[in-house]
Amino acid sequence: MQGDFQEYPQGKLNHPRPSNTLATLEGISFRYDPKEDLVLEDFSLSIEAGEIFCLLGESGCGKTTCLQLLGGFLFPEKGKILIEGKDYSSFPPEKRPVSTVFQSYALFPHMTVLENVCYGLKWKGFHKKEQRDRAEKYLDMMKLWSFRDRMVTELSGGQQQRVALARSLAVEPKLLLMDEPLSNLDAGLRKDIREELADVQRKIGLSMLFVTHDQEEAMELGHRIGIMEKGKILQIGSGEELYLHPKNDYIRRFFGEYFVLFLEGKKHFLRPEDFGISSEKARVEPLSGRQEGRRELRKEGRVLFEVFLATYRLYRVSLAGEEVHIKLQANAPFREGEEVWVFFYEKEEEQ
Amino acid sequence: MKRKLALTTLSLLALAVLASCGQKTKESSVAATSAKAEESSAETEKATEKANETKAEGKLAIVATSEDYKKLFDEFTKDTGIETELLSMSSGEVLSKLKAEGGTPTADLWFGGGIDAFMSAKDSDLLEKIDLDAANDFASGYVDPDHYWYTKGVTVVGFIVNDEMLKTKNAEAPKSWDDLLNSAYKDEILMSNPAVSGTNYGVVNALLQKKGEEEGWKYFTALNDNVKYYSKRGGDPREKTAQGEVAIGITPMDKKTEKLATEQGCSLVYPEDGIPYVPEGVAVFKGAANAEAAKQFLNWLYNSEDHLKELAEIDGKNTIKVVLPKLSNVDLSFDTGLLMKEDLSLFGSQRDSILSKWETLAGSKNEA
Amino acid sequence: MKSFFSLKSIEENAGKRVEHSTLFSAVFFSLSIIFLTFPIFLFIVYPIFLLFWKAFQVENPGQLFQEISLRYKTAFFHSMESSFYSALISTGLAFFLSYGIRSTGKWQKRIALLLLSMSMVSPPFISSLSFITLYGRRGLITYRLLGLSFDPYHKWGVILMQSIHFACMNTLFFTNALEDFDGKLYDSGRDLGANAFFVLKDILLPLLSPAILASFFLSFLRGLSDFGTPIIIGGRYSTLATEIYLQIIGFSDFSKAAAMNILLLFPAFFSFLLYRMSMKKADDRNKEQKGKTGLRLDSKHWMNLPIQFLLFFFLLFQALQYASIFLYGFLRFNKKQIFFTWENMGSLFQYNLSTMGLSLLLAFTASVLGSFFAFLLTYFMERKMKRGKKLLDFALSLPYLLPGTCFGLAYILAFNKAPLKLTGTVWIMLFSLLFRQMPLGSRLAGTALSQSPKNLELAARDLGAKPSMVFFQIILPGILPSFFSSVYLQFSQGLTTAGAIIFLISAKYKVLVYTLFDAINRGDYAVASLISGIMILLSLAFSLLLGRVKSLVSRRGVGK
Repeated sequence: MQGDFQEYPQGKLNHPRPSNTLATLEGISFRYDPKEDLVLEDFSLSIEAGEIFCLLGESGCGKTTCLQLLGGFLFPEKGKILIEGKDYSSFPPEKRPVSTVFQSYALFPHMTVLENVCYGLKWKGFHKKEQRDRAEKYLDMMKLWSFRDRMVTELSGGQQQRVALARSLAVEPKLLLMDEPLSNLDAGLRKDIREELADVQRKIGLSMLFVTHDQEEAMELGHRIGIMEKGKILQIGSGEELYLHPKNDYIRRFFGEYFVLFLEGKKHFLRPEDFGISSEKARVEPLSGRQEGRRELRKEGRVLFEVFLATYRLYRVSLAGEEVHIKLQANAPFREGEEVWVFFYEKEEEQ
Repeated sequence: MKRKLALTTLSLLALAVLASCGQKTKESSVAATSAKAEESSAETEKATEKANETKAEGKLAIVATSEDYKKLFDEFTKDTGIETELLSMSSGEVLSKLKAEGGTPTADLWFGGGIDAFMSAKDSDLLEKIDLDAANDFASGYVDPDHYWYTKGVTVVGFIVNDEMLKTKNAEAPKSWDDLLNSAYKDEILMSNPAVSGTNYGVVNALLQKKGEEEGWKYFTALNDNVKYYSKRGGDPREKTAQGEVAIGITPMDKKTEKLATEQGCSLVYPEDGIPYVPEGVAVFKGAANAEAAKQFLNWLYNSEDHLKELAEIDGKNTIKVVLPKLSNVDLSFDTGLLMKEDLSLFGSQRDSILSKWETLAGSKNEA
Repeated sequence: MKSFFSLKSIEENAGKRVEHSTLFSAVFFSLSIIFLTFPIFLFIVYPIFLLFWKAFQVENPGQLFQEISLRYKTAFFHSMESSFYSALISTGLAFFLSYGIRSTGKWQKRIALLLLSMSMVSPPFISSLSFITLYGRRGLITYRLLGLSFDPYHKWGVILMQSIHFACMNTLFFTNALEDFDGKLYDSGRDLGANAFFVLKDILLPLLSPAILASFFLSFLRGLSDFGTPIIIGGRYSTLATEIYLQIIGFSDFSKAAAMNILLLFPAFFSFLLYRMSMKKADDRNKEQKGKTGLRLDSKHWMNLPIQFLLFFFLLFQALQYASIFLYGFLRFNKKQIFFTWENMGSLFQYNLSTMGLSLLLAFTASVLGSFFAFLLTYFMERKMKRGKKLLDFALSLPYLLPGTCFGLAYILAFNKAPLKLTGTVWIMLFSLLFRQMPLGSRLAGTALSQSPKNLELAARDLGAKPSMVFFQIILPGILPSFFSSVYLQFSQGLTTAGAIIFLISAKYKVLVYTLFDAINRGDYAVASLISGIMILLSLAFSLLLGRVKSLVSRRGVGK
């Protein structure tokens, strides 16, 4: 478990292990300035054919650098970039079978929607007619067909995002690189486009490297997620694996709130949904479910605050001065000021 | 390192600015004391009045052809206590500036420059009439009959020749104006546009007078074929010849031309068939704030042979003797017989007609 | 009953307050427009109008114009021809030079920029002297080194010299534009398969059109009004500007000069309309805020090689020319023999070097105030004004339309009487320097603003910034590089250009250019070279200082 976690996902996989590698970063070292420190040092990563790989991390962790190295906008000091086994390390972007969707879309403001999408096709050797047909096909796929003759500057943010996507998809790259493509959109749109993206990916079986700082986005889209910090991948796995079995506190914190309780001489790491509450009048099991055969531990507490949040009910409970947050099913009956027992099931493999 | 550099430059800049300000305050304090001195030395009531005026208006402002004359004006200041300020400008610029200022000139005295500009200024009513003590000493033609302008010497015109350039053309240096028509000199002669250069206007006028209208214009039509172009700067012919851009330049023969010729190994030719010349004017501007001081200076200059000699030394030539034949302490270095016969009174009246005719003549080639 | 009443009165008050504040802002707006446009009227429109009016003060103006348009048809055509080619070549050259600078290494870039800012300082007369010394018929390089006898006294000599001269300033223009360019667009073009050449053609060029247009337009105007270059190197090729100069210096004929200048107004106005039209198109593209990714040009494409070569030779050309200026100051010539000497240094101090202080003070004040004013006014004009925008913009471009001497004369005509009596004072010099370079500042500001997203301003207002503060707190910091370029360009121009100021100096207030001319008048070319050297060094020192200030300011900006 402590081994070379950069190479393959470990732990209990929920989805089939992909079989063939599409793109590999091999022992990459990179820095922006010879005088500065390395941003990436002996960095390796591989992306499987047909998967969405999410690189997740805070800004400045090196995830975008990684993506730009693949795109050909930056060149490594050491190491290789392989796509389908071919070494592309020193190839310029225009010669790489990848395409990037940029954070700010980078649409050409002096062109129409259609011209934007056709632009990449020009260089693939298509005739004018073929360019148009193909561009329209992808615009149609992104539900933008009727906007094809508009200037891109006239479109809304979400529409622009979809044009950028159509433009990149139209060149049918082997690997689609996405640099926080949704960060400029509002929450509703983001969700829509996320779904669209997942649909399109499923439809054409495209491989993607998706860079984001939003763990929810990563969990929803990524078949595999690599979590990065300071130029290193800390752990690779499915969203579930990373959430449930984080390798360290950094990853655990990245994926959401958790609390540490000392009980019976042991440290317990607990998420809000791992707690249940019982009192004289009722017992409500944790949202993460009842764990048969595990030892139940409990502690006395007092409800400080409760609020109904549609799909669940959130509690703030004081455990002898320590405050924890607890999520219970929405109809949980405990009210503010009540004296309760907070309980949880001991986990198998706590360190 | 970089920071140091930036700081140094900053402090240097600041220093320069401060230094200049300091100088200004010093100057003005000197001016104040001298004005006092002037007051005490006033001889008549009128003079005192004028001196007060001078004090109010400030220093005597002179426009000259170069700042070389500063020495002369400093001497004047020493003698009279009247502070002076000198500005050098070409006569064409002076005339335009004067016209634009519309009777409120920023200078008082006009010292040097081709006489045609002075004549034109008189016609435009831009000069102040002054009667100098020495007015009657001037040779005829060297002073305005109405006393609006005087002269301080003459500029003679000749050729500067780049022998090396001529050698490549297998040609001899020209000795006369007629030699310039030699086809070997094609595109090797530079002459200033007579509209810009008073000296070259002098050449055109003098040659027309010498050869007569018809022959004269024939001559310039023929010369036009050899002239590379007519420069719009007076200094161009000598400079371009010295640099080897052309072989022959028609130029005023003054200190600068001599200096350039020695430096660059060029020779100077005084044409055998006559040296054209142009008097250098002196006048006081109409509406000048310190007209009286300007007059005082001119009397100071023309009344003293010593001062005139000093002027001749600055000019590096004794042509003042041509202007004031009575002078005893300077001698001409050349025979006045070599000078062309010029009726200077025609200089002003003919200017417009000559230049417009000349323009059509040269203009045909201008469009090439 | 009572409570109802008071509620109503509150509402009324609230209504009034709203009304009051919009009224207040409207008044504030109108006041600031008046405050900003008044100097333009007084120091640009009024003097130029007075000069132009001279053309109509003759007996028969119609005849004058007819005569002139016949007489100067060729000169007019030459003006158009040489200005067009110079603008075209200098803009093209500048684009590739700045492309080369952008894609070269850090050190080369620094050297290139230093040499360029030096080349911006072109001391009158002396630079052409050194040009002829190096490249004339007996030029050190053309004749002595390469054995060519090269005669530059024709049309192409003029165009070449103008192009090279204008290219320096235009390169700085483009360097700024490339700095502001959103690198993601370039990356994205390449990502889609276009190579460096096609990204340049399809993405970079169309999107840089504001800078290209501005550079072309400015160069065209400068070409139209440039009389110096044709005088020095045109030979018999004369343009309308040189003919205007001739009319003023040779004949003091203001009416004719004014009429000729009005003739120049037509091509200028036409090019201005074209410029505005294309600018409007380009401006519409910049509504969105862009990413702050710098432009990373492909340095491996074959195209880079010729561009780097071009850059190298251009810089070499400039370096040689400027080195020869410095060198000339330490040489003594005697009978064609050349000696090294310090003696010119000694005679330098016989000249009136106190003019240096006033020159620096004037150039500095004019450059800072002028740039600031130009930027503020352009911002108001482009973003706030609804009517009269074009007219004002054209007025701003006017000073470049007149040959320097005419601009100087117009100032004398306008300011020779009370209550506007400025002749003979230091103010007239300051104002002429300040407003003469207004087209430069406003064009730089316009280009920078067209790259600066409009929604940024809205965001600032949204966050509660006062309208009066938006410019200082949001807009100006965003276009600081262009602002500093403007300050530098105006400074170096102010220090070295002679045209207008030579008419406005008086015996009391003289500037360094005057001392330079005086040295030339005395035939002291070596000293004149030294004075030119001083000008160049002063400008360089100022550019280094400015660079320092710039980095300090931007660092503080980041810290915030």
